[in-house]
Amino acid sequence: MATVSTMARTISFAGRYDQGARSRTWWTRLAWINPPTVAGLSIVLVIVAAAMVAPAISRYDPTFGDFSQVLAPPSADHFFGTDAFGRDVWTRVLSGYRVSMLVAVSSVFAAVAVGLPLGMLAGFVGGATDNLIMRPLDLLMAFPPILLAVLLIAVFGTGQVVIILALGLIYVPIMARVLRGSVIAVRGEEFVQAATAIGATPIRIMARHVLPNSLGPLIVQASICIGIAILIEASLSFIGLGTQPPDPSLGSMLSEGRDFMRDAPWVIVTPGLAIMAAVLGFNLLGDGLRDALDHNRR
Amino acid sequence: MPPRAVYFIRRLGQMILVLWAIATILFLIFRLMPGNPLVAFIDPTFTAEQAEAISRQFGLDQPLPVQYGLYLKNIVTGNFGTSFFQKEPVLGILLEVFPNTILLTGISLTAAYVFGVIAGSVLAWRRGGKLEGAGIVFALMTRSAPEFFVGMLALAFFSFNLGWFPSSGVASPGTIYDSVFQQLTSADFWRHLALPALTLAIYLQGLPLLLMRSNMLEVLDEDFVTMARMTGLPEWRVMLSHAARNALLPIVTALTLGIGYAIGGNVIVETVFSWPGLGRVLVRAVQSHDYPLAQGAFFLIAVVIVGLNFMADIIYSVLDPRVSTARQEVA
Repeated sequence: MATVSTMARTISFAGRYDQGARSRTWWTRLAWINPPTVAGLSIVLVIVAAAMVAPAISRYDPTFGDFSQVLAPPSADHFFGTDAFGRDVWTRVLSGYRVSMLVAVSSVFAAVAVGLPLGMLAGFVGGATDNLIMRPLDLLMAFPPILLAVLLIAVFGTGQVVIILALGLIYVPIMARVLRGSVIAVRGEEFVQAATAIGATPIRIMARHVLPNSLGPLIVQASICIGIAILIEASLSFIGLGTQPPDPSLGSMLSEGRDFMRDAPWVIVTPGLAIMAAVLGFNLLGDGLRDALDHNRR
Repeated sequence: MPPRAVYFIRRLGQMILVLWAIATILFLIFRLMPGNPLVAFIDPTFTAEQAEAISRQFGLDQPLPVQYGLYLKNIVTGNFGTSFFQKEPVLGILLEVFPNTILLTGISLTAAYVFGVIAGSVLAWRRGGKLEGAGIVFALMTRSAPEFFVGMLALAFFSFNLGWFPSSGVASPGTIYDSVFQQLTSADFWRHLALPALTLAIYLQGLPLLLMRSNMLEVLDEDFVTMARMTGLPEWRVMLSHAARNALLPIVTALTLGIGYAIGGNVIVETVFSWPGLGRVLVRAVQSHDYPLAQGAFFLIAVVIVGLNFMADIIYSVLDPRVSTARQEVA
């Protein structure tokens, strides 16, 4: 299946910032990061920081409605206005980021925790083991993530834990496949043969020689998947299957604001742009990391 | 047998195998639900006779393997049970909205890929210029934009502000079409389709656009392109007949991915525009715990995905005969 490698080739800034790509190790290449990557990294850092300190930098309670301030336009008191319940839109966006980040980062961590050993085993051992691990995962990958998430929510009900586990499950095949690919590329290298020749155990070869040299693409994929997870969480909340009201979520802010967007566009434009910024940030970061980390690029 | 026929039959076999696996997963997962095993098929509001009939059809009082056999038999014959809320057979509800989903998906996917391929080629042709820079920024923005946000902006602008297009539904109230052909030739249908299709197409065009651009850039470095240039062909001929043709093949591979995106995007876009299709039926069924309808919708959506992928593979094997003649490598 060409899925991941196809995605990997869609965009690249390689060649534009060649100085960086020629450095010898991955971390010196990182040091030469290019402008789009810096933009992505900055967006990500700002959002993560904002999500972490949200309660400290906002004067309002995200679920408290001030009925004297219903659908108030942006002002010095309410930077991005208020919604139909008089709640501060900016405060709710910040709290929404907390939910988004928590769900996205935990699900990607869960996927790496399961996908990494599977991909390592499939790539390093190969043969029947490879088929046994990868065929079922391929089947899982043929389905749009949002559908799998909806399926799991249909059966287990909604909730943050279900959504995290659902997204984690969706990403396991992606993580396993990406790592497997780079493990296969690395396992034929001379330094692996050398380690085998001096009698290192397979476990040691995997952990000390193969893994560190095949992590790059996995890190890239993790960054991109965090972006997609934010999008999926927002989509689920938008269709009413994700975070439930009155808890703030970027997706449900849009569906709640739907009826008011003619008179109070800020209730949908602010959370909409907030989602876009987060996804764009993680995508740019992922694209940039790929140029810096991927050994197989020309 | 000619190699292509062998390939065709093998892919057909694979398709059936995949659908069987999906049916099995659906069977198992809906029995993992907490509570009574009957909840997946019988709602407390059913009459005793209805409950009895469904229990017999699906063998709900039988052991699990027997239930599984009956379940597969029922799926093959199109029996997905009775909807909890509409109290009608699931298949009928699904078939009624099925054409709407196929039309929306097919039309926006085609539009997105045609636009993406052309725009991607132009960006590669104008590499290094301002147009390319702007194009890449546009593609990156659309790739990050949630479909529901784009959809709502489209509604606000084209429907509420300009009043050009209706804001929801698939036809004006009271319209009934005798055939799909009549539907396709009606201006009313296209006015209703415009905004959902535009939204979905904006979401889908980024992948072919970016992919076409990077493929073209790679192909433009190849010797045969230099050769074509040396023979003195005009630049547009080099681009069109030599570069674009060869850059196109991976786009068809990426169609598989696009199909998945399109169906996933459908679920959201149909909700925004109240477009009566499989995605919206699915979301509503899940929200209201209408399990038979949800199961049926999942299965039919899986059929659509698997079927479209099958078609993409066949198109690919026609474009690139190596696929069907060479022994398939394990990737």
